[in-house]
Amino acid sequence: MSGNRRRWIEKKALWGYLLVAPAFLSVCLVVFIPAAKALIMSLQSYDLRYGPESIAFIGMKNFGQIFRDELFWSSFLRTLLMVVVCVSLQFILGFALALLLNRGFYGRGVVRAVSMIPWVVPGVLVGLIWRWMFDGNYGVINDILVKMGILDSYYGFLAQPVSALWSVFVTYIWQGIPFFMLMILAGLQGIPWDVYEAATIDGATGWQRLIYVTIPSIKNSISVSVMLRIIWVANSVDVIFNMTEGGPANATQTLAVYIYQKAKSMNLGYSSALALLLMAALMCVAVPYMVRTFRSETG
Amino acid sequence: MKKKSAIFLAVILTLGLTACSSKGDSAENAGAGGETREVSGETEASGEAIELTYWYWADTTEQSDLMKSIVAEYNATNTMNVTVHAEENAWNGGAYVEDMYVAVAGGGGPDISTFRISGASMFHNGGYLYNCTDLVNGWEDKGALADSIWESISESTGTPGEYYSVPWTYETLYVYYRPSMFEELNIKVPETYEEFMTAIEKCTRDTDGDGKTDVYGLSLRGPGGQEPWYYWLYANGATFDDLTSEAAVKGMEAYKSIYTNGWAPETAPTDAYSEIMANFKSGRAAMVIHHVGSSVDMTDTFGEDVAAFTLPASEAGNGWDALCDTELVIMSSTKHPEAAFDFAKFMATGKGQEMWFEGTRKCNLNEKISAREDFQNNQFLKTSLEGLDHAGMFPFTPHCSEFISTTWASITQRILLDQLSVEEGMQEYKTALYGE
Repeated sequence: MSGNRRRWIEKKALWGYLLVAPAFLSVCLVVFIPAAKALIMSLQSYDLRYGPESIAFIGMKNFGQIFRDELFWSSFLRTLLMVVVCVSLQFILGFALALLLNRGFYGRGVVRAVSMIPWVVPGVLVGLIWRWMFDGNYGVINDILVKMGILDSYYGFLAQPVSALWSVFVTYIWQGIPFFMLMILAGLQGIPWDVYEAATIDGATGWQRLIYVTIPSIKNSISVSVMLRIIWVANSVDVIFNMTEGGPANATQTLAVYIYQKAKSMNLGYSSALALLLMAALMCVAVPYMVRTFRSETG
Repeated sequence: MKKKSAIFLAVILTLGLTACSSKGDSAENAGAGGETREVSGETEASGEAIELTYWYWADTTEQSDLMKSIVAEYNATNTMNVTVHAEENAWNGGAYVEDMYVAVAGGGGPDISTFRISGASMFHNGGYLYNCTDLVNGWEDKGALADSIWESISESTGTPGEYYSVPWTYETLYVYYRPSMFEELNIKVPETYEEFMTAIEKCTRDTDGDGKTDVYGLSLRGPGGQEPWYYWLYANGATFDDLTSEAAVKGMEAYKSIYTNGWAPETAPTDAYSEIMANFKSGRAAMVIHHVGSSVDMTDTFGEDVAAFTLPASEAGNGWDALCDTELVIMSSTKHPEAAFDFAKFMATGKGQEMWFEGTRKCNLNEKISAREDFQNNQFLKTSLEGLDHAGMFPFTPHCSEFISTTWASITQRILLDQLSVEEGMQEYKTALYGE
């Protein structure tokens, strides 16, 4: 082997590529191949209700139909609203909880463990639990609100469009707080205590320490967790489907639920096209984040 | 380069996180087991071990346990050395059939499954159902089942004289009510649609004088309530032929009035099976529409204080009742159609049918079951049989399954919540059921 060749191998770190290869192939197998299949199906009249022989290439017709589909636009806007409201409130409340749990107090371990419960409960169960809690005839939330005098009588939270949507939001917020709490708490514990000490000696107030020390120190944790949560909330089907099935009158139908419903009705071409659009929308969140992260890592 | 790498990684991450998980992944290949020989059209070699995968749904945990014991009974007693592996799948608001379709179209799914023939047209179009005609015609118990049932089965696939499914259970819908409540309000059991509407109104009451309704006349069903809904259309003179007719609009207005007049709970648009049952059992609703499958539970709850009447025809003679069906279908992909049919026979007219009837009071009305004393003396089965006179099914269109599992509830909710006029809603029903 020539010296040039050896240097090339060293330069390209062939060994490193070999080590990465199994992981890369696995990703291709479970991500890229299904994604490529979805892309192909999105260009076909892949509607199994009419049997496999009806499948044909139709170009961009599915996408054209989607842009004329009122349900797509309403679902898309609702998804956007849900992501903004739920992720914001999950973040704020999760942050507050993390700050609290970062302090030393008696029983902190128990509180930390209990705080994780919403996150470890399966989404299907979360949907069912809250569905019955919000129930308009027997729900415990109605019971409490009536006993407190806030409501005169039981209210069908999940039977009215506006209240159903906000009930779903409440559920998602409850479910997502522990994730932010955990991520931010991990970040907080990595901040050296002497930085706070120095800031205090310099006369920084608690608020100033939060803004100028804490947040900049955990900005990577924050951005990763926000990005992941945006993607998860936008993709979530289990909670909504078990609470409301997207109803009443499509009031809680997000884009992910709409995709699921279309796929369930076996119009797989149309649902694949919808899924690709959702993916494209989520890429708008993921790409800038990854670009920024790479830039900051390379100085 | 760095930017490209970042974008590449972002694509992987997003793809990974947005990858849709396919449903029904647990499906094993049809004909799973040691046997690989093609036997389609041939007689199975006796003595050779055969394994079958059987899918079913269960409405309750009791039914789930019962089905397992039925399968165990078959496995212990069949003479073909067949072992059936029962796999329970969720009814999923009617999407069971669609979920199975996806599994079968993907090369998986069961050898034999419980089924609703509203999905038969779709499965038949895909070539996924085994043609059981020869096996049915050579079956000694074929005549024990009513000819009309066999006709419906042929009609479901548009193949006269051919059978792609085997009858498992049939029941009609009827109205459960509390005799003590009717007595207290001096209401006689409704014999016409008009009397039924009056009874719903009368049963809606404020029992504690606080100005709020405590008992609703009827627990109206949201998701899954398409069959009772159609009763109202038909009672007002509509038919499936034209869902936008004046009679259909009138029927829908009557249906909507139950909700808008406050005769049904405010939660009706989203109340599913468990909610309507809870409403009736707690006394919050005076009546509920369901079939004989709930009768054991109702009797356990109320003892003697529960009875039923069939959905009555109107004074003009317009009546319709939903024939709620469950069949057994054998998949065309099975390697053991004759063994699967043997299991189907056990379920349809053998010990499996008897055990299911004893546990649930559901049956396919075959001669043996109908002759039993506990069938003859059961008031709910009698009521169910009365409904057969005017019972029917939804049209067998490729959209029927989706209409039942998704679109009906969505359109109905929009009408009840005044987001659609009744006329617009009827047009949407028509499009959803028959396609553009």
